Amino acid sequence: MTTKSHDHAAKAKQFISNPEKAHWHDEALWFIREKRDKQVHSLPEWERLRELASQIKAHTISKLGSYLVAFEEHATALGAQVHWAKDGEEHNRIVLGILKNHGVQRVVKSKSMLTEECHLNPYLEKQGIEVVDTDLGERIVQLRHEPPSHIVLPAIHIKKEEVGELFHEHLGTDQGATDPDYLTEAARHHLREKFMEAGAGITGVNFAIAETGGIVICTNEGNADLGVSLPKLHIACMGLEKLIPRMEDLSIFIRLLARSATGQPITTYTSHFHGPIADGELHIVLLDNGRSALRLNRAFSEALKCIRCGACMNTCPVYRRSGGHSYSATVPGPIGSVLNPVQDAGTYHSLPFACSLCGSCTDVCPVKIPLHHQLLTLRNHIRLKGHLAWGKKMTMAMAAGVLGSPFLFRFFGGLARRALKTFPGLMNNRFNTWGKQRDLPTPPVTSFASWYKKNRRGDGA
Amino acid sequence: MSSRDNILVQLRQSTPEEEAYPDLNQSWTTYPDQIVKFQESVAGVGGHAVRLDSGADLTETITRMEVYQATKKVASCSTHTRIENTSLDNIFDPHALEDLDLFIADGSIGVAENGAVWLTDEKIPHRVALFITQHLILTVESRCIVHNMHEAYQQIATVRPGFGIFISGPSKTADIEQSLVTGAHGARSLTVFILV
Repeated sequence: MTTKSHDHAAKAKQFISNPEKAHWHDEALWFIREKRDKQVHSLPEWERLRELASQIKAHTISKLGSYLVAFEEHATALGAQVHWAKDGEEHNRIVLGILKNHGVQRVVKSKSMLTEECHLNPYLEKQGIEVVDTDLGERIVQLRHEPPSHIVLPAIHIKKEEVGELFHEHLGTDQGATDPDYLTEAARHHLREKFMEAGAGITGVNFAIAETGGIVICTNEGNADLGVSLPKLHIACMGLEKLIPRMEDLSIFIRLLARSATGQPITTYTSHFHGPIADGELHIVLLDNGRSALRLNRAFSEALKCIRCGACMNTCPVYRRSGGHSYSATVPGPIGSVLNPVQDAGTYHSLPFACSLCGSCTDVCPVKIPLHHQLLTLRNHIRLKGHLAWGKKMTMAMAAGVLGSPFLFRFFGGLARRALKTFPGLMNNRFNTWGKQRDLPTPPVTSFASWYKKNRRGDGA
Repeated sequence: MSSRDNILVQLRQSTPEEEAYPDLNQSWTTYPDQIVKFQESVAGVGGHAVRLDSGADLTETITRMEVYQATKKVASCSTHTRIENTSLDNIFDPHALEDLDLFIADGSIGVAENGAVWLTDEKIPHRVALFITQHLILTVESRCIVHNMHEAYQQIATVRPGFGIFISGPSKTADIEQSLVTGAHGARSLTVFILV
């Protein structure tokens, strides 16, 4: 874990330095939000589904220990091997151990934010194991040596011209080619070779079912299924929070997941694995990495309900206009702005402030995590922990003084109205961070208090 | 103490109050004609769902299809047609299916709300056939088409060990500038025959 603090605003500034691309990014994500809305409006029971999903998750989290033990017991009975990892380091060690036991040199991996969280790829590569990300978007960012910028759409920040150049360099596609059909076809051939050579498939997990010991993986491309149906070794990596009690709970979650994520009624492939492939092995690695501690954190434990659909990112006005990389975290956007600073406030203290508190994330969240309330609460936690920047701390202290005293409020209000009119440069200069990329308002002629005194007082209104 | 025990101790200490498990037995959206809705949903996810009347012959229908006429290697695990020149039973290593052009299998449930077909690998010796094939044909009996996912999961509540999957449309991706492209890694096309 990095101990270096990072600044969302500084990274966002880089992103918006190309206004055309920033606008395109904003539109691309809003397009997905609109597709989501269309799906949502086709189901009259949508709000009921959200409520049930939220209740099932709350129930599961409250009994997480016994559900995990039940899951382990049932998965083991089906012939799977269950491993427990307290952190990313142990997780990676377990995965490496399994691969070494089987003498595997080449691995294909489907999309898994958890393995990103653990930095599994560089760890395995250091040991001489080739890891190929097979989700098209993840393959694109892997070839560019950068992390995904979105948990569902890893390459949402990349233009097709950039993909064309990248594929020309790595896959030998025609120079200047930008047609998505052509580029996807090239990736299909390139990755088919990788699938044929792989000695093991690593996947994430969308849902793990306590009563059956099964796991469920959802993809559109079919890459997870290809990756674990050719080799005899499947390693599935999951966070503790992926658990659900029963098979029938899937009827709720599968209806919500793809509609929320990409505006599809269901992903193309929704695969249920109960035990290993014939003559093969299935290893399930359960990762804690702060999740059990988050569960005990009353103010934020609901964040464990997250099913990683990405809807909060697609709708967030800040995410859409600042890009996923500005969060410098595996999980960006509103949910990332909760999860990361809760675990490491020193590094991620700027994230809860990258939010207008508009509440759109809370509105779309399929498991009803009160995201914008959590973000507001987090700001106070960050202040109490002493992570506020000096400028912000001083301004807040001054504002508290002025807003807490009617006399000072009247005095400075009058001063500001006059100064805004006469010397706008005094108010909006490089020291006023609120004035960046903003115009200050036209000052009103009088204060509200004097307007009220003149117009309303005494008329009984 | 092992990580397992550590994690479980942490999860059992000062456990929050138990939250109730909700009642999922509720009424959900149904459609006036679930077969028509199923066909619309399959079309909506990029596939084709075709009604095959009881008199029609599946084998003959498939041989008239464009995807069949262009194929070299065909395998079938369907009980409704023996159309194949490669038997999965005779294959030891699934990698040998790399050049499979067309695969036919039977689904046991169709879901009207999203066009998904449920099937298991009970009768499919190499499940990779579903994904490695260039084109996929599934069958589902019209009486097995349900309205929604709740009805579907009620039927698959008893789990057999092995693999089960909902397939809804052909393989697809929109990872390059949100342009929808079919045939990412799996089947480039999906046809579902509804057996009346």
